[in-house]
Amino acid sequence: MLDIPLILFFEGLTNGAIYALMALGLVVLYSVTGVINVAIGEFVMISALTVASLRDGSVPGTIYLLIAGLVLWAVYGAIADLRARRAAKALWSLAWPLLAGAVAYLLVLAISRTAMPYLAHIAVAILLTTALGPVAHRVIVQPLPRASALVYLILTIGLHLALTGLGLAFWGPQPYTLPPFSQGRLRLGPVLMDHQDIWLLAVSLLLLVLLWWFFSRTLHGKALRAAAVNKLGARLSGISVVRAGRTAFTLQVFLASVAGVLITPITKMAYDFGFLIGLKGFVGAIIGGLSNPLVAVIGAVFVGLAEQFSAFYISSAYKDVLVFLLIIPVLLVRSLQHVDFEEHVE
Amino acid sequence: MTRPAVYVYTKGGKWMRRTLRIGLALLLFLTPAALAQTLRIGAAAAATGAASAFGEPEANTFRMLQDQINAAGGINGIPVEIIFLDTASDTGQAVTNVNRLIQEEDVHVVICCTISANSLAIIDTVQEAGVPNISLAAAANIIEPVSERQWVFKTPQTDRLMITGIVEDMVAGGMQTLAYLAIDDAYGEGGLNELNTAIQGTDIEVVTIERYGRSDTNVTAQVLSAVTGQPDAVLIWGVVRDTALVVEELANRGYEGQVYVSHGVGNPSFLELAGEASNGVRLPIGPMIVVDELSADSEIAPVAQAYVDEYEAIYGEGTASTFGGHAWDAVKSIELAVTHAMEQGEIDWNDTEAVRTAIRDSLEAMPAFTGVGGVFDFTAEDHLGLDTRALVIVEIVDGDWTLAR
Repeated sequence: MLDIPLILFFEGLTNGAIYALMALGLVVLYSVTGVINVAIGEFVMISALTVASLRDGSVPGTIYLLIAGLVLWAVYGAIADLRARRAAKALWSLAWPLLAGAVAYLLVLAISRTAMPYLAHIAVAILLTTALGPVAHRVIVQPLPRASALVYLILTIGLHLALTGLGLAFWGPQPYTLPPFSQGRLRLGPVLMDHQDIWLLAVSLLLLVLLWWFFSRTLHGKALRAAAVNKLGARLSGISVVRAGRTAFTLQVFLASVAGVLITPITKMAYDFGFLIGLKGFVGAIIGGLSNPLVAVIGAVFVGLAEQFSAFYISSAYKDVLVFLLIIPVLLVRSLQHVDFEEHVE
Repeated sequence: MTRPAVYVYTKGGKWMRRTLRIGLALLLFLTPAALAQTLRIGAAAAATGAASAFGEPEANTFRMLQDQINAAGGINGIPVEIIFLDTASDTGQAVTNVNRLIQEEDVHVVICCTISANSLAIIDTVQEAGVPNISLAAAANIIEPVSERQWVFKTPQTDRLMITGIVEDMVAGGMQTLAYLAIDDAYGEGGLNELNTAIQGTDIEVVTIERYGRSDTNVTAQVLSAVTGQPDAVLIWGVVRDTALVVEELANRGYEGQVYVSHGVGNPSFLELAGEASNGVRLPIGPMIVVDELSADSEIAPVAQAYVDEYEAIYGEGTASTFGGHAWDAVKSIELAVTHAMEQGEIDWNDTEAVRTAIRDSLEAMPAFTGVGGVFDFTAEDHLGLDTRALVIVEIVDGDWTLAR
């Protein structure tokens, strides 16, 4: 079979595209805030299982997670205002997250009780999961504005453990699947590809292009980049670093939740499968030095390809070992190139 | 230099020694062994956590059987108390629970645990305490070697039995080459060992061995490697999600040989996950799953049918599973062992250790009995006691299990 390398190539590309979304999210968040989000994979899981819940006609646990986060948000906000002796504003800070939570709950309740097309469920799930982004930022990152990368790392490890546990509580240990966006297969030269693979590649590519446009052409994107390059400088020119961090976190969670609904029809999903996806994206992000989005994306695709080819030509038993071993030469080369690698550690 | 252990007690002087002695005497007096003539079964299973899909029907079955046996007047007049503790699928919790059952609850026999890792972890505990344990997990080394596991029995079929069933089915189908695709953990490695033993003396040859991770998102490389050898059959030794992924990938690559999967996928969520790709897939499994298709001369059919009916009458239509069946077999074997022991002679219910020994000896000595999972004949050499009557080969046809052999 001459087409084996080609088949491996396309499979590697599909996986690599997902890792690329992860890597990009990690790079964006790290450059803006110095946070390495270990829990990125959990958002992949949450969005996918939220769709499964909605299709089931049940209320997804995601909404309780969102409400819990919003309650914390309200409490944090109110305390901050009271400390600054702004009683009237404290009331508002307390009220609006609670109101938002209540509205979101009623909406989700209504949605889960009405029959909706699959794509609408997907949109709702992505929206709901993405909403966890700013909440996570407010609850976990913002209270410690100038912590070191290590502190953030420990915090997000905690978030990862908490979300995995909650995922188990909400959805149980069994795996779920979602139907492909469209049925059928397409012949690309000698290779047969499922429609879902094409969807995955196309949507990922579209997102990458959109992000490029966002960062290079819009004011928001430029503000984010400014905050990444120099926090003080950005603040002096009127950019809110907190808001930039929140946007970056939201963007990352959005990318993860899109990845979740794209990949689940192909791979299935259970409460504990997110982590490995996030980890492989992290290898890609490391190749990009956690700062260069383009190299990170290329690195992530390379991880996907390396995975497939090493599993076929070397040994499937050592597939993951080989992929993670990739980090060592990369780190070696990078440590020789960049002396200022630890610029975020203050 | 070590100090004598009594040092601690002598240091406090006379007064302290006396208090200690009185305290000890009081403790002995209050030990629950002096309570009543009751058979105390300590059950520890994974009612929650990762293995809860298996542990929950087990817990339900314990509850059901305790009520049933006591409603019927107990075992020869001896009421049964099943003390259930949840292991939360956690190894540490399992060991803690078994210790608590033996030391605080003073149970006569233990049923633990749902999964193999936990069952292995508690072997030392029950061996040292001299308490019979019946495990509900699959691995053969839970009960082997019997010379070091005199107190441990189990009711689920072993991997060895299941793989023997597959090899027999392959031989009957005239298949000779096999690709083995397995999960890269103890389960997959154990399966490979058993497979290598089982094919000895047959014409079957394992041509490809590939492994994948439990949460791998992609198995194309492994499947391609397996398919290029064009084997007569592929055996996938994994659990639900990963097996579904491999089965789908095999269908995508147009593989036309026979696909076998492990009994680890024998639950409805596999049918849902693998969808159409599961058509024609065969697996070995306990006979209960196709109970209404078993032939009339199968001795297991009426027992299994009765269990399914009783269970579903309480917990709802379509809820009975083979895992609850293992629990049923465990409790029944204890019930029969106690009956057997009482026939052999008077039991002193106040002497917990004597009761424990009597139950252990009777489990080995009592005649074979038919359970939900098969015909059990525990002996001093075999603490599982099942033969190939304990499994059937089913084929998945249009999203349902059908008896194939």
